[in-house]
Amino acid sequence: MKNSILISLFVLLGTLPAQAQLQVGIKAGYLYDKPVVNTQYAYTRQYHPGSGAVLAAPVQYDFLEWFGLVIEPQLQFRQTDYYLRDWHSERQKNLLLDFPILANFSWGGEKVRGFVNIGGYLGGWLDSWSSKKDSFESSDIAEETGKRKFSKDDNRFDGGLTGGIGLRWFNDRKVSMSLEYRYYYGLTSYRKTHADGSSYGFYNNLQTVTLGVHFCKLCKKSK
Amino acid sequence: MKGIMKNIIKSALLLAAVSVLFAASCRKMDHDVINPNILEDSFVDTTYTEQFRRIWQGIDVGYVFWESDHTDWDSVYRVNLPKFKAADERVKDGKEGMSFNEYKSLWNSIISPLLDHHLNLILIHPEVKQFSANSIIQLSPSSNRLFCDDWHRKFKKEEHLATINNMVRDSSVAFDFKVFNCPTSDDTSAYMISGMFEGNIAYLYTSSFMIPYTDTKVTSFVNDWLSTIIGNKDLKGVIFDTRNNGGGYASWLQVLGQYFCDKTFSPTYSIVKTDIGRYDYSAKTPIYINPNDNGYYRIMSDDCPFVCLFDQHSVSNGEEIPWMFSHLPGYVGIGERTGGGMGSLMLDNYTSLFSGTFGNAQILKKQYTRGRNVNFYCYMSTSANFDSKTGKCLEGIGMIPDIEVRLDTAKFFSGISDNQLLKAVDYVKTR
Repeated sequence: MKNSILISLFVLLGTLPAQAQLQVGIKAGYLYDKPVVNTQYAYTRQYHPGSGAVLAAPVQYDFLEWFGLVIEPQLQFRQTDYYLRDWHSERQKNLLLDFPILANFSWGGEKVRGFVNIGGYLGGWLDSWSSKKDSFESSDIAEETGKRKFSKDDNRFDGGLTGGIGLRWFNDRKVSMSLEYRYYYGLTSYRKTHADGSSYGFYNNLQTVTLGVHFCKLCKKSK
Repeated sequence: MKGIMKNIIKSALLLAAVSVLFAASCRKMDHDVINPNILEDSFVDTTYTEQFRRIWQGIDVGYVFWESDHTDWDSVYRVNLPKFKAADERVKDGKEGMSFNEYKSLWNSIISPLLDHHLNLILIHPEVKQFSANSIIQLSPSSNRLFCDDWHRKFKKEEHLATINNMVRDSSVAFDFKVFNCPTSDDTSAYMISGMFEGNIAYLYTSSFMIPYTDTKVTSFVNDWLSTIIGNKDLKGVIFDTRNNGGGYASWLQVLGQYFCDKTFSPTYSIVKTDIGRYDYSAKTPIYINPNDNGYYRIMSDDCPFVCLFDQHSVSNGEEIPWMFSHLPGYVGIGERTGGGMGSLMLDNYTSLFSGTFGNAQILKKQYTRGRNVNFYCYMSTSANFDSKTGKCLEGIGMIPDIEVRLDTAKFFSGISDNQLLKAVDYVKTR
């Protein structure tokens, strides 16, 4: 079974040079991070979603006019807010480098094409900052803003599933623009599981809307 | 070719769908972090393993010093769990799981490395059939240090007063003093001694800071003492004695500090837990001491020093208050290194702060029914305090005296003399 799939892939790659296209591009846009945390007994913990940004450099290889693979290295700037009762608030800002790999399916004409994609992503948590505000047992408000030192409890490996939908406009075959909505379902927690198996799961559901420009050097200009 | 392509796409889609379904179930969102306080009135199976798991987890979530404490708590779990499991297996086989001493020694090795010098773990051996006062094991990381470090027992009020009276009687020291038996908000008895040594040296002793600072009798006693200092042109110095003082209300910092400063200062900042993760902390919150609103204060100096007298049983506020005075002019510390429990503590706040005391407080009152109550009580700090200037955690260090004077226990406990107090008086006199 394995062999037959591999052989089929080689055959496919060997027979599709005329249709194959390599495109590179740049994408940027808005990111919305909704944290998913099990508040367990501590129901006073409130995690709120926050806005962020994404900057990506997609590389797309189309095997067929309607099917291709996308590798999209991207920097994600994520933000979430945390509140504890009425005395503690904290905004956490995180920078991650992720590498989504997606199967891309497209349809439509020469000028405008729709597409959907599905895949997974792996990456790492590069940096973190926080700003805290506290008024515990005091009328004075204590504030602290700065770089957050990673602790032994932080899981800096990031990964999950992703899928998107979008439209692409072709100026000619060499240059195109895209508008895409994508959803990221995080499967790794920001926090590690402790020795007794206790999970302090802190997962992320991300949504992004991006605008992109794509270039295809070897593509022939449309007539 | 079309057929092959179709098969590949179909396989890819099927694989993707299965992966999505599989991966979606990978998030670990289990509800296994339990608030140990909620267990207080529940039925609990008192096995070795269960007891260990619950205490380990209570400390795991509620310990406020993980940022400063380098104990590998996960490793503590992995190393010790098999030992407790083995004990339960032996019990199942009708044998003794673990002897009282083995059990005590194992738990001591578990908590000894911890930094929290307020931590007191009170345990009942899981195999105890008939509960009695002897069933209780009480362990503390701080006691390990104290017992190794020229430990002496705490003195009693009667011993303390007898020694002072004897010293005055045999003219070792000229001291005009009065004793105030204070009201306290807990079950303990507390007392204060104020007076004036020959040569205009003002003295105040407090055995506890659990004394309610708003009580009119307390305020009046403290004000009388302050009146011998503020405005006294002939004053040679002050001796502020917190030996044997186990601490109490943090408000005493401001209550006393306001009379010895002319501008706001912050000796300490503190942090509390804000979530159940080990490293989830609040912002660094400075503890400010403000000068008296009416300008009623006295600034001490090297020529008119403020001597803090403390010993190894000065803990918590008993050392926090000398720490505060150490930031003011004229401070000199005399005595022994203090207990090192510089964190603050509030009871019954585990749910709101995810830190501090948890377990069954009834054990302390000797009320325990096997199988009906949690068989442990863990008393821990709620907040961690740091040196405002250096950012160094103060826990486990304590106040280190400028002039170390070990208590001459033979003379003190036989009521002959108090060498630490005499040294403090002598220091001020010889300035």
